[in-house]
Amino acid sequence: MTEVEALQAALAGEHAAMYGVGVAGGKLSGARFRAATDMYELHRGNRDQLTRLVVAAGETPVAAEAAYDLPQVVTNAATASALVLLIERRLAAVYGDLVEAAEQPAVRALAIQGLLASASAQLAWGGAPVAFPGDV
Amino acid sequence: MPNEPLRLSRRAALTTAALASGAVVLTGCDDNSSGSGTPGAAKNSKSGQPAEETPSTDPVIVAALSTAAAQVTQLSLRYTSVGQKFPALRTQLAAGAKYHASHLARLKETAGVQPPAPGKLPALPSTSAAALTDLAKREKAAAIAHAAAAAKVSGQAARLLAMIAAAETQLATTLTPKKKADSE
Repeated sequence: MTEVEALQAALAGEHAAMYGVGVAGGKLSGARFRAATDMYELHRGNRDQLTRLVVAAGETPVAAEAAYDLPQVVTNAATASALVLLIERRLAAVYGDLVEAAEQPAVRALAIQGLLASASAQLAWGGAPVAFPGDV
Repeated sequence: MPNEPLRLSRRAALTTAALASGAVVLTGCDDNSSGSGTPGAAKNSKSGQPAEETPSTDPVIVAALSTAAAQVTQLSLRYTSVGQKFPALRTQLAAGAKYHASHLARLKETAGVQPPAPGKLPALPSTSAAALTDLAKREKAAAIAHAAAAAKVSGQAARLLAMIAAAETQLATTLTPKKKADSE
């Protein structure tokens, strides 16, 4: 996987994450809703940074899908939280790929921060520590 | 392959994210693509076997991984000491102790990586709560150090160091005493 391919994969992952977190937020309230809102903004910021890096590499950033099939029906706070946890686990792996494929320091730094943020978010959304977050 | 993720149907990405076992499927990457994920890392992590390709002997990488191995060794010894002094904490410490052993094993898979003999450990705090707080601080410091180290190398070594840093971030959080939960 080249650096640009990994950047595009991470960008596609952030597009999907924004969609999924948005859906999950609709079933959350109170502190959980606020946490989902913060998460959404975080992913939007990551999406924008990744987009800039793809453009800087001379490529066209991958576009978001109009909609995404959800892996499970989101009907309540528990299923919404489970969806966010799953998204963060998948994103950690995507950022792990980007860390490994990165050639430029700026890309590697972003990927490392993305991996760390996803690992932290997993705990916030009901996950447990694992030996190697972002491993595949 | 800028358009690679678009080869799936328009509503495919999140479905595959949850249902397929591949790690990068959240992105909508082609499930049949041999380029999905990082081949070397995937093989190694799944099998737990040493790298199939020739291990790196780049002295910069060996130095970075050796330094990390030394820090992880110190952390492991700290877990052991805390568990011995405060047996009631052993269950809470079990995951961290286990994960650091895994970290050390993975670091040593690279040829030439050998942590130096551990030095004398600093004295332990006098209470179990203080010992947990101290461990959490050390995990956080290790995470910062390993993230910084990851930024200075590349390839699989960078990924390994970043994943260790991520695990240490998680462990620091779980060892930190919980604040009172926000009201819903």
